[in-house]
Amino acid sequence: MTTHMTLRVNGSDHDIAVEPDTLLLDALRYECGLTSAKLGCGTGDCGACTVTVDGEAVNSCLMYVLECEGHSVETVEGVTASGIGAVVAEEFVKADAVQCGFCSPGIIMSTCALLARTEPGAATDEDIKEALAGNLCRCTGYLPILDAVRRASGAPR
Amino acid sequence: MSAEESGPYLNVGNRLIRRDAAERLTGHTTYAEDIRLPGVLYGVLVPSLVAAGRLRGINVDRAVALDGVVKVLTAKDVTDRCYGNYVKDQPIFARDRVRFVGEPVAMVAATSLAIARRAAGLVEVDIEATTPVVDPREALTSAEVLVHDRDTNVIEDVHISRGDVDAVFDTAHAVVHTEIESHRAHQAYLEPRAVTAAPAPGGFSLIMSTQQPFGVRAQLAELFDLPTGTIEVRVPAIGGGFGGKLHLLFAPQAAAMTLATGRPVQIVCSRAEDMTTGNPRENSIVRMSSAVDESGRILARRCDVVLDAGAYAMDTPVLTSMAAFYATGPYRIDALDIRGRAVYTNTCPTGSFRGPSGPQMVYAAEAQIEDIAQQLGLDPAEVRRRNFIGEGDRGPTGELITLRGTTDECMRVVESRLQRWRQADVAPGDHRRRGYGLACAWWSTLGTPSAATVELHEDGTATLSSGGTEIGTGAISTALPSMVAEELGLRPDRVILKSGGTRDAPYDSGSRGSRTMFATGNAAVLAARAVAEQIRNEASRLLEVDPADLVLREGRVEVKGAPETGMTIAEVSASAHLHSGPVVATGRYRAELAPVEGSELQGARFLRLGEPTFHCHGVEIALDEETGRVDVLNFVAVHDVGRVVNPVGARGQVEGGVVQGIGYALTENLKTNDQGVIVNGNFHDYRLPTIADVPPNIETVFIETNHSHTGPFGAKGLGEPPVILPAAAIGSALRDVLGVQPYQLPLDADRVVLTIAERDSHPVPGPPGSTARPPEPEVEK
Amino acid sequence: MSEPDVGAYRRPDNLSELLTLLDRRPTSVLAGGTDLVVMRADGMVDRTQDIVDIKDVSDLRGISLDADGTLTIGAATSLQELAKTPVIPPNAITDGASLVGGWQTRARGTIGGNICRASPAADTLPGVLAADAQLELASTTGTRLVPGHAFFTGPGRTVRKPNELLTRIIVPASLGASAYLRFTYRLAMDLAVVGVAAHLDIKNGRCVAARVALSAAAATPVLAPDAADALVGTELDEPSIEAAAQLVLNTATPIDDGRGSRAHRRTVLPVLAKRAIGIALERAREGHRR
Repeated sequence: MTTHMTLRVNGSDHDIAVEPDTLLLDALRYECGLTSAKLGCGTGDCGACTVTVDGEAVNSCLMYVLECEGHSVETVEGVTASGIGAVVAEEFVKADAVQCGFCSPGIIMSTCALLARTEPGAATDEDIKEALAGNLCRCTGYLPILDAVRRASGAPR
Repeated sequence: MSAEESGPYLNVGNRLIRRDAAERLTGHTTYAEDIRLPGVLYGVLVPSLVAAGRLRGINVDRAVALDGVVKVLTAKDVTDRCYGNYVKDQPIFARDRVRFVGEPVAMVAATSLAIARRAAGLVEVDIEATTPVVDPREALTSAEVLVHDRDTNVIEDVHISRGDVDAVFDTAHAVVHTEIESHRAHQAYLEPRAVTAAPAPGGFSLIMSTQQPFGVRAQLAELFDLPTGTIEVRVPAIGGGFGGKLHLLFAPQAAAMTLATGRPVQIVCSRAEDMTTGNPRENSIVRMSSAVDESGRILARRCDVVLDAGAYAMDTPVLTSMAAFYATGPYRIDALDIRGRAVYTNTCPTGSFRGPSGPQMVYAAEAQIEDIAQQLGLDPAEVRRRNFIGEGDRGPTGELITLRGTTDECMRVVESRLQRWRQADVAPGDHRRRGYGLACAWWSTLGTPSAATVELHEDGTATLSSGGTEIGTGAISTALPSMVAEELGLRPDRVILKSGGTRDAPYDSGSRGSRTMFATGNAAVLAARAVAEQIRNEASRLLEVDPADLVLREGRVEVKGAPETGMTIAEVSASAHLHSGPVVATGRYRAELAPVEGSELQGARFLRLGEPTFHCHGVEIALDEETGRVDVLNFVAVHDVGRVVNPVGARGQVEGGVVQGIGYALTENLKTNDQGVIVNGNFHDYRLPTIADVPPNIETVFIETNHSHTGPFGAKGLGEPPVILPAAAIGSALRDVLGVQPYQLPLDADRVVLTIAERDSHPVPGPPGSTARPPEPEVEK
Repeated sequence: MSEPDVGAYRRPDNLSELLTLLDRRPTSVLAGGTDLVVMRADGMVDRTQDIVDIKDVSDLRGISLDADGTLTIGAATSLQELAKTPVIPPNAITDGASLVGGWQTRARGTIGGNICRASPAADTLPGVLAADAQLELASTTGTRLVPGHAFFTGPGRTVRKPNELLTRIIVPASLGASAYLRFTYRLAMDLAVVGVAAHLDIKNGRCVAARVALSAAAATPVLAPDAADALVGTELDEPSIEAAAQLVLNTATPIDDGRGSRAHRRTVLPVLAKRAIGIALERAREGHRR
């Protein structure tokens, strides 16, 4: 039962055809052509599919795209193009907080959601861990990520 | 390449910012699943649901009848040749027999993934289940339950012998026995395995998440009886590998479907499929005995290692040799009787995982050291020190060690940290007991073949074509061009890298064995040197100076001692193109194979270890005795890997490896039940460390005074060593706090509680928790 | 042969329309979706069922405290909102809510979803039982209240009928405090190997009522009455707590599975009980009632 909907992603409206149970992740990847969100597990255990909906970090593998009608979705392609998201990406580069990169878009999105709800410099290590625990990284051992998020948190916005 | 040529280098040894980082972080990097070719079919495999059985029949009628299904393949539709790196034992689809839960028995290709999945569920597979053998001990001795049509489940039997071991054991001061058992761990890269096959003239091409495109190509050429050149393996970005993407994975099935349909076919594993059909680190049993003198000097060692290969050999044969070679640890032992065996079981095939056989062999060897120390009443660090292998000593096959042994230097750094941690105050209200431990190891860098081409263009920029595969370490994407730039006197951004498959670059044996910086790097540097020579020759002609008096630096060819006399490299290159020919060279590298001396090898897959590296890790743990929970509070990792080409990337390898090692030690355990079913093949019950689980501080220290004689700029490999020591260091710390060594991995809370209970049921001398250790020796701060 | 149709997606904005939809045909009630989406994809829930998204019904969200101390939690309240709520001090339910999954799952997942999923290992359920909460089920024909301890009938099974919706969790006023602790191998993103919630009512330094509830210790979350009874009448001194905590083993019937062993679970349960009781006591002494 294909229906049509408008999905607002990174500030642009996409008119897409969806099934009732089309995942937000699949709509982003295959209807909108935004492949930054990755299918790592499909069960909400790895966070590689993390995007924000109305600014909140969510697993796009655990949402139907129809739930997003009337809401605003952002992906890493959008948030790193300018503003604090670009700062976050730059800090990740400097800290060498990326290796294979498969988890990175999700981690950036969780970071952006964290920074959006905290004042500059206010995020503690505990806050960062709470915000990023749902994003697995198998390469870095996380310490450079922690470092990059600390620095991004302290950056002026 | 000389080790002693020391900098100052402009690039090598400096912080190199990864060239591909920004692209990865902004979501613009393409991985295998991100590429959907026009007209692609979605492939879904039909797995065996039982571990062992006779395949009586497969009915695909209902699947084929579903709208959108294009083809269903089973064994009868494909070649009956089998594949495997060393032993060709694996069919594309199970034929007559199934051997593990998850083994592909059929494959559906359909126009959508949803249809393919549904159709896969409609394939009716009739299997007469038989009794599986899932325990390697049972498989070792069983003559009734045989996984393959052979008279034994033992697939590999390696012996290393040296000296008169029996005589030494008979007369030694003491004989100490240690036996450990280890578990399975999954590589658990974040990107599930994925491959797309597409038709190509005379053959096919693949887009594949693989660490080893040339190996994949060679095996597929043999399997499908095609000329190698008709197969192309293209490697987009890889979302982690750690050894798990060295094998053919589901490339044979995808290729067979493409050949059958003439259309592109994509297989992307679900996480569950990936976890249950991958090739995890093998479970193993290691029995080790040492004959020692009263000072703790190890005079002879016997060791018997059994690796569980699972249902197919994959690369377990070579891992069996590795395990045997590493049975000495970083110690000089002149008399050896080492046996390594691998057995088939009806379980998911095991294979390489970063530092294959390393964690369990280091655990066994280091537990053995501490057992020796305890039995003799000596300080374990002192026992280590009395046995460390060093320059002029001979390794397990009698190969001469031509580098300084620096394990002691590494250990001294660790000891100073342990002493500092011991003196730190514990927060009030924290009732957890502290334990301190360390582990030493050596490892070696794989020197398997590689070639690379460097071409200098008329504008003075260069292209490096490497068959090396960037799996996320930055060694290929960033370090290699920087090394080439160093050789050519160019800025690194003037060297453009072309890599990512078999088409545009010469052979490379893959990202594995800690080899890319070393072996792929050597090939690139050799090519660059040949190009530099061509430039010097051309400049020599133009400047009328002896080529030996010319240096390439900062984009110029200059006369030594007279830097004002010279030309730009671009000018020289342009001139060469007109006068002597294009400026291009291919470097080829293969580590020299030294002869075996004094040891007898039977059944070994290689003859000696590669360039040795030396390591020591130290850890402080907190133990909650009531629950068995262990937290890592502090960690120090000290490595001698020769010159560090990129300190930033090197630190990343160490920290990432340490955290994988901690996961292996404490939380990760891929469990197979007695029916051969993996019970935690998902990311909630297979427990990868999260950001909340890592120690607040992992200190990385490099001993940089022991450059390799053969590595590029004196570098050796670093990828694997960080992962092989943490379990042994944590085991040592648990021994410190519990007074007894846990002999079974993982060291999870369950195991710790059992270890405490066992200790308390066999009272040991001294109050519980105290150890037989003498006071800590004074060490330098 | 073609694929059967997937059920329709509906998002009513009022309760009566929602209940009418539930009445009409079998539906998948979609709240946070963090379990449901996976279960439908895996075939554990029939994909031909309509999906009824309840998040636009505002009555189903929010946390409120009545003048008499009764706490009402809307079933579609996210776990994150519950975990971070300023309305009530930390207690066993909020402790549990803060431990579920990662930030992303807590941001979407709801308390009602956690309850109706009825996983024996769910982290909020021991708190619901220990708080003696009532669960309100609504249908087109009316509402009924079911006590938390009578709601669960097996793994994934509850007394909720297909046409009923869990609308509110009603927690009675309390003189005491509560806490939930669990054992996991990792410090985040894990499912409880075992968990224990303790609720204490204290008057004049003496325990006058107590409830202890366990997760991942039986086929459903369960109360451990022996442990609770042993606390009542004591001054909650260490030996009394220790002795009572041991009695959770009278109730617990843990199993061996991929997540933990029966023996280790039995080792850890009394330890967690002792510690959870200790935290509840500390909270009660600090005046953090709940």
